[in-house]
Amino acid sequence: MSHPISDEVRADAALAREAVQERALRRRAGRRKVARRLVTLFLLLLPAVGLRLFTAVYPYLQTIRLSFYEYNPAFPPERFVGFENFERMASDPSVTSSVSFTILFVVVSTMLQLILGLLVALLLNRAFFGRGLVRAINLIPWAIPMVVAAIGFRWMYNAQYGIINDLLRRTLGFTVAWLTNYWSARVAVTATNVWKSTPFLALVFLASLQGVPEELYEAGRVDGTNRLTAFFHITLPLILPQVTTLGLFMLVWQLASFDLIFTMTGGGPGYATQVLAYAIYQVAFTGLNFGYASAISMVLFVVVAIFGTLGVLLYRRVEVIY
Amino acid sequence: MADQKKISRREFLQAAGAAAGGLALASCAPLPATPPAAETKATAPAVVEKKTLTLAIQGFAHDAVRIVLDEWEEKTGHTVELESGPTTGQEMVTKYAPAFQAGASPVDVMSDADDSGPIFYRAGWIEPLDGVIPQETWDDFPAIFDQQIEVWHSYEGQRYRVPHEFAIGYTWHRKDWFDERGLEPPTTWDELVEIGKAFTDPPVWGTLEAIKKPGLMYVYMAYLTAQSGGEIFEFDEATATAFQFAHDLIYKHKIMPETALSMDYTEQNEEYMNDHVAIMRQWPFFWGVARGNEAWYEEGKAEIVPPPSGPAGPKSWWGGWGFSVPKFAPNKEEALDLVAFLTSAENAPVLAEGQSWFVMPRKSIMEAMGGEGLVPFMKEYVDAGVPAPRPFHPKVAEAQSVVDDVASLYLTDQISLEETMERGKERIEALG
Amino acid sequence: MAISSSKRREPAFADRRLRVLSWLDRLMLILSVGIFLFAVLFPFYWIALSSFSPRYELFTIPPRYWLSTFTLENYQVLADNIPLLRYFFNSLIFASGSSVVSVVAAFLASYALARLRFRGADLVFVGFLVSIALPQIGTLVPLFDLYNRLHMINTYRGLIILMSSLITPFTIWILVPFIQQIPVEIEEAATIDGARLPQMLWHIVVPVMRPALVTLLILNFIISWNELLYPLVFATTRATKTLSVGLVELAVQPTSGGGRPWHLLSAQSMIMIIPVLVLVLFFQRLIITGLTRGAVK
Repeated sequence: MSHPISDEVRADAALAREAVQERALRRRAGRRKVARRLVTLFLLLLPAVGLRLFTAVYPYLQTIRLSFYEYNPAFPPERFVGFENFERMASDPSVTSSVSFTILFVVVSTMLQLILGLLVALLLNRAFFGRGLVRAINLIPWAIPMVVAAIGFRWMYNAQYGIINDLLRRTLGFTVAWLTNYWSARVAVTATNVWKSTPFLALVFLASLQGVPEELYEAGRVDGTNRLTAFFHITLPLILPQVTTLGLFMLVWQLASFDLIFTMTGGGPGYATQVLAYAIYQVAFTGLNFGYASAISMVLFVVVAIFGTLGVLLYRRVEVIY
Repeated sequence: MADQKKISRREFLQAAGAAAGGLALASCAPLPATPPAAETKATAPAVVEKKTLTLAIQGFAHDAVRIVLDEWEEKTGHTVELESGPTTGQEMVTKYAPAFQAGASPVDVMSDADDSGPIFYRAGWIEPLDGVIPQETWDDFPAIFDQQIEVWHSYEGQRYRVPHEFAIGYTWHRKDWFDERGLEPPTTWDELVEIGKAFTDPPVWGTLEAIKKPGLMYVYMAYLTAQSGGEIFEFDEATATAFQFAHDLIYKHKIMPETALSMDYTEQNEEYMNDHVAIMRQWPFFWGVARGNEAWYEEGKAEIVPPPSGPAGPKSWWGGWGFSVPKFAPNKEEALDLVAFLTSAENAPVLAEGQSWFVMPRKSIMEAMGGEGLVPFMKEYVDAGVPAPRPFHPKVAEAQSVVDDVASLYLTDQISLEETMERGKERIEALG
Repeated sequence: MAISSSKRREPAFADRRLRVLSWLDRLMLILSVGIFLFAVLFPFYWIALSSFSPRYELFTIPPRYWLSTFTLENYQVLADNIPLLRYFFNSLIFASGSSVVSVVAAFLASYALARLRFRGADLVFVGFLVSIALPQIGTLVPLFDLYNRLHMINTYRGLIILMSSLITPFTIWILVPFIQQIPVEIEEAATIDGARLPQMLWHIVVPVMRPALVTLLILNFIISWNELLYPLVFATTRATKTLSVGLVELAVQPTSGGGRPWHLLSAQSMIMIIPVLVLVLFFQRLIITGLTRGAVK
């Protein structure tokens, strides 16, 4: 089976070979060229790296330091405790109980957001009357402030007054006490999260779909491929890099966010919807336990670092395959 | 409009330029080189300089406070700007702790909550008020305030906050329904159950309390524990009795809906005003909410009665917000004077007349307001000894969230009562 | 989804089948758009409905699907409680500043990461992601300390730096694959023609990347527009507070911390959403122009 892609792959391979040769050439070339290259690199990276360093270095150093201290400004003095904070976590139910749902919430949300985002992007990429308007409408959920979405959905999920239960009652004849039951509460917050963020992914995917040259499809059409095959053999490979990076990013981003859950359920019922970032918020800002909060943050950080590295490895693989 | 656009663009470019500049700076400047702002400000000479102070308090209270502020401004020549403050203790901490920790304060005077105040004073972030607030002001508070002021408004013998609210959980009932059936309001837990069963016919419920996490669950558990005579943070026998009672209300007697577990106060109030609840506990603000709902409200639909008594009598715990001055307030001297002025026996009634949030059983207020609004019921509660002190713990916010957590697990049947008490005890001990 | 499968084995019927198929296809498309619009718009419709309903008519059994009484009262109360114009203006500066700064910084860095293959590029790439792994709330206290020392609290530049720094990593993560998608030959041709890097970026790369760049400008604008935590803590004066902070300042009555005024929240969220929608509609033309002009070959 011949794909238009294979030409691209070949071209890429050729490029890579060229790059290797180029590197070899460069090695032979004078030092001035290398220096200029370094300056260019430095200048290009400076704004972004500078921004990050400016706002991240100090907080990171503080967090690392404090994670080994018992530090609460309301309960001085500050005291070095070694790994005590980390040991404490293992027996702290507000942390241990949040691990499973944190993973579930973040992974399921991201999967659904990727799939739905892709579907929506494909839909919005087709030609139909009023497409521009529909594309703008797509962004509405993303444009609604989180507090408002959380409280609005609380009302929609309300067992008595909620519009969701009313629709269920009218169409299927049953209702659910959404935020009261263990699993339905989990479903409810995840669904809200997906509803809120899918448009964001859809828009990015849409932009990358627009980068897929129309010629590829035309070639495919001549070959007699149907749309499903076209999607899997032309579209998906081309936008897979975006899908991977964005998916990874959503994982990390959502691991660190808690505002939706804070407003919707407060982690309840019981610990059903407790997430790690919310636990950190509570530890830091109800009790000012900055030391302990820093230790939990470090754990979250390590988890993310692992995710990130694995993700980039995966991303490189994706690049190689296609 | 066109003009505005121009400005916004220019300012925007400036801002963007500044951002780029800031970056360049940041990459070469060693961070801790510049001295903290607070120190430099403190040395500024203050003779008859006119200052602009910032007072942070919840938005709805602004109009009432303004009346008193105008007077103070006239008296002193300074200006006070009102700022909308947070509505919960946790938001207080989130918003102000970073600033205080850095030795700065965005406000001069603030209205502060019970669950944020004590840790603020402990951390040394609040200015002591002894010697600032005249004795007449303290004398204006009745005896029931003594203990509360000592525990919740002071630290190591110094006072740091002046109460401006008296928040107690009142019991509201449908007098119209009770009269119709010839029933008297319940005076005991047993009567509550019995009467509750008589009224319960879903969607109508005998009683209802919004007990969503975080915070609201604690409020109700502490309320029932006050009635059962327990020390909630010790998870003693009587606390277990209260927890069991809450569980029974939902699962055994079935006079309170399970959905209460995820409700907030707005939802609870809506249920009541949709004629779905016969009797409930709610904070004083429900007075205004019910009476403001003109299409629904009629006399007899939301009448206050004493709470039903548990093993320890008809009790209800109370607390409330108060005024404080942050240690790092830019205009501390003036701020202290302002707090003394706002809380004086002359001005407390003015605030109370302007906004029911400021109504307290202070002598001056009771005198000025007599039989108005909530005042007679407040008096009735105080006279009957209903107010129970708010349960204290040095790490109050964390202790409260322990109760939130274990009670929520118990009331959703995820753990047994024994486990609940055990876990609660363990976690309180772990707080130190 | 509007994907129909077809097998064209019998050429005799191909014409008729094709017509049926394309008819089916249109039906599927319309259906999909319908479902999509319902899912997106229904909750929004309900929020809009709430904002125009009187406070005491918000919650009924069964819930209302249409306005019983139209009122602008909620908006009126809002305007009386919050300096809307001032906050709006602040939000505009904060959001557009953060969006532009982050996209520019991210674009330059992404170009370096995607094109100038250098040792450690992967490390930098992951580094950006990992650098935001510390939860935002965990960084508030040290950041405030830093900002206090540098006198950057309550300044637009301070807020814009914070926000753009927060969203730059994700912008880079999205842009890198986009740049890699562009065939490198275009740039090589330009370099051979003697174009220097800045010119080449501006004249060649930016036009080609227009859909992606505009998309990110929009997304970053919205993220910043809705950001609550940074403005809440680092903007404490009227001169810098944003609309999102106004959302948590809405208190028309004491609630003892349990419940927010939905009638006002819904009204304010409408005020916050409309400008964003206008912006998106406006910018969409840019995305489309970018497409037709810079179509990648």
